[in-house]
Amino acid sequence: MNEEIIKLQAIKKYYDPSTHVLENLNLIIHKGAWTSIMGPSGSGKTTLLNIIGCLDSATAGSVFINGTETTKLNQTQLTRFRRENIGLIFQQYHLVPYLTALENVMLAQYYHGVIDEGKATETLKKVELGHRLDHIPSHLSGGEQQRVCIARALINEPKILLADEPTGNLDQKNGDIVLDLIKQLHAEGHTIILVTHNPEIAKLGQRIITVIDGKICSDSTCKSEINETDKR
Amino acid sequence: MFLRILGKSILKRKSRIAIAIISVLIGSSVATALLTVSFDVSEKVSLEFRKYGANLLIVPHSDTIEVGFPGVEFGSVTEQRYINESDIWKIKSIYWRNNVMGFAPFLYQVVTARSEQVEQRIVLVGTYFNRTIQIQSPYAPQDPLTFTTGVQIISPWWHIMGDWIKDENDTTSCMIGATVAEKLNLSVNDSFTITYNQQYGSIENTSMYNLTVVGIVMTDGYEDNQIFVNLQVAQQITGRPGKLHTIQVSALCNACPVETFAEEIKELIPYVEGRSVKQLVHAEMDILGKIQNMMFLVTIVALIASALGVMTTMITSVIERQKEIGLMKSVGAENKKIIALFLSEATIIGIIGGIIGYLVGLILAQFIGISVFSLSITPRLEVIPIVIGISVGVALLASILPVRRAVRVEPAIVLRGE
Ligand SMILES: Nc1ncnc2c1ncn2[C@@H]1O[C@H](COP(=O)(O)OP(=O)(O)O)[C@@H](O)[C@H]1O
Ligand SMILES: [Mg+2]
Repeated sequence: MNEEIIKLQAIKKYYDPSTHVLENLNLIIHKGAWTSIMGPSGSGKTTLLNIIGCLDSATAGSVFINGTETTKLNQTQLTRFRRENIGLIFQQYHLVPYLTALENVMLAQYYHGVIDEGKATETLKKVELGHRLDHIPSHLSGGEQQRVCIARALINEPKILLADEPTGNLDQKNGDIVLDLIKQLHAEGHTIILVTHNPEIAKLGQRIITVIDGKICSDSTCKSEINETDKR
Repeated sequence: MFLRILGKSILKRKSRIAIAIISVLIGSSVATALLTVSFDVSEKVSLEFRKYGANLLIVPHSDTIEVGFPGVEFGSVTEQRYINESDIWKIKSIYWRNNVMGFAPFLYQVVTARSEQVEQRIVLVGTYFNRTIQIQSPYAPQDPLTFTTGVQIISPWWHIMGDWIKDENDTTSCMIGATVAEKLNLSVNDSFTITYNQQYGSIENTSMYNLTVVGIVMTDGYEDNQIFVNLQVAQQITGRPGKLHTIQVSALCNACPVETFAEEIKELIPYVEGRSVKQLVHAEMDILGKIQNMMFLVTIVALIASALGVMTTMITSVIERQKEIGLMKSVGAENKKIIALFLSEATIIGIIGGIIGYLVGLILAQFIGISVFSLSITPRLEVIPIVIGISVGVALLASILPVRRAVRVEPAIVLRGE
């Protein structure tokens, strides 16, 4: 039940020796949990998410995801691992501008190896974009683009969903639609890590982690290490 | 899916792709011109002389070594030299006279030909078609006193549509090359005018003549670009009575080298010299060689320019598409997929640039062929795969650096950018 799905041990990240973005960071996340990450701008939240999401590599320390030590994988292996296990949702949506909504979702299928237009359509319907399949991103609203991004993150059925300020660029209404989707995905058993500035949104998770200056802090007391169990 | 991504990404960036294609075109067109001219001229020149009834060319003696085919001057010829028409019979009164199968005199002049709206600068050629001349002083008493000769005798392989000029006193008929017929839109029985400007110091004298086409000549060689009239017509038009430039001789001799004829003719007409067709082919090939060398250099330079052009556009494109590349990687694209995308794009640029370059190169080749060799160049199909291969090769080579850059794009850094 309380199975570990993500384990970070003594993670350090420097872009150059003088700036330590992440400092000796430890973190365990359990399967099916919804963890919210908060913290001021520039504190290292995105960096942390990128390391978990295999988009970036740590300078030191080990990362275990689903039992695999991803810090030991090379570039190609990381890419493969990522597309099997992790779905990414970005604040900036990041859709390929010249491909339609459907094609953007199918792109993830294509790189994953199996193209299934029916399933891509189905997933877009799930995020209520069944009527927008053939629109290119610039013809979609911000909320719609973000939902395409979610559909793309879901298409290969990853266990873990990482969302970096997914509602940061959206108004209340669209933000709620996106959050409802994420709630639904959590209910379906996905492990969710969501970075946000909004305390209301952070409260949707069972656990809130605050990152300040590359260290994990809880409440107002900063510790370099945190290992509390889920409040579930 | 791959084709969809490729197609849409290309359509999205038409102007960039167009620049890259134009870069390729520079190199591929020059390469096409080089290859087409090389292949075609060397084949035509040898074909020309293989078919040639004449194997000896008599020209006025000159100190400067004249290169090229008769009437087509390379470099500067300071003094015009002529052969006197009155000496022509002497060729049939040498020791080996019975082996002289025929000969034909030639007088050349570039004139302006006009037919309805079209005007062209074309070489007018005066010659004998089929004429009986007097042997004024035969070598032996029993020799005949007349000899029938002309181009019809020495060039029986010419393809003629219509007729040869039959009457040696006909001053209004002409035969035209197939290319001339096409350019001036003329067929048999049509008439057109030629004008020739002559300069005597400050006095300019323009003569204009009406000619009627009696036959169209198809040889695949120089003749296709020429207008043929009776010798005296050309002499009259150009104000050179009794003069001619060259005599082509058909000498048949298994026992003696063609140089022997040249020596003997020279004894009777001291101011001429003979050149065997072998020498001529050699001279022609020599020019071809020089032009090939020059064009080879130009081609290399053009191909380097192409590669640089493609490389710059590709690098710009990689920089512009950093986000997209990072995104594709974050969504699961392995490096080989990214490499395939860019190399396919380069291949398409190479193929399109190669095809357009081939067409442009043909025009270039035509221009070189006519201005340097007075030959219209036939497109060579075997050049197409070579040129497309070169273009694709250059485009791929030029993509190595940009593609390495694309491979180095890190998904995290790109996606972070606000
Ligand atoms: N590629 C990079 N090179 C150098 N410094 C970087 C790079 N990416 C992020 N940083 C620095 O790392 C720190 C943490 O960045 P980030 O993880 O994006 O913070 P957050 O997401 O919490 O706002 C910032 O000080 C930022 O300037
Ligand atoms: Mg951030």
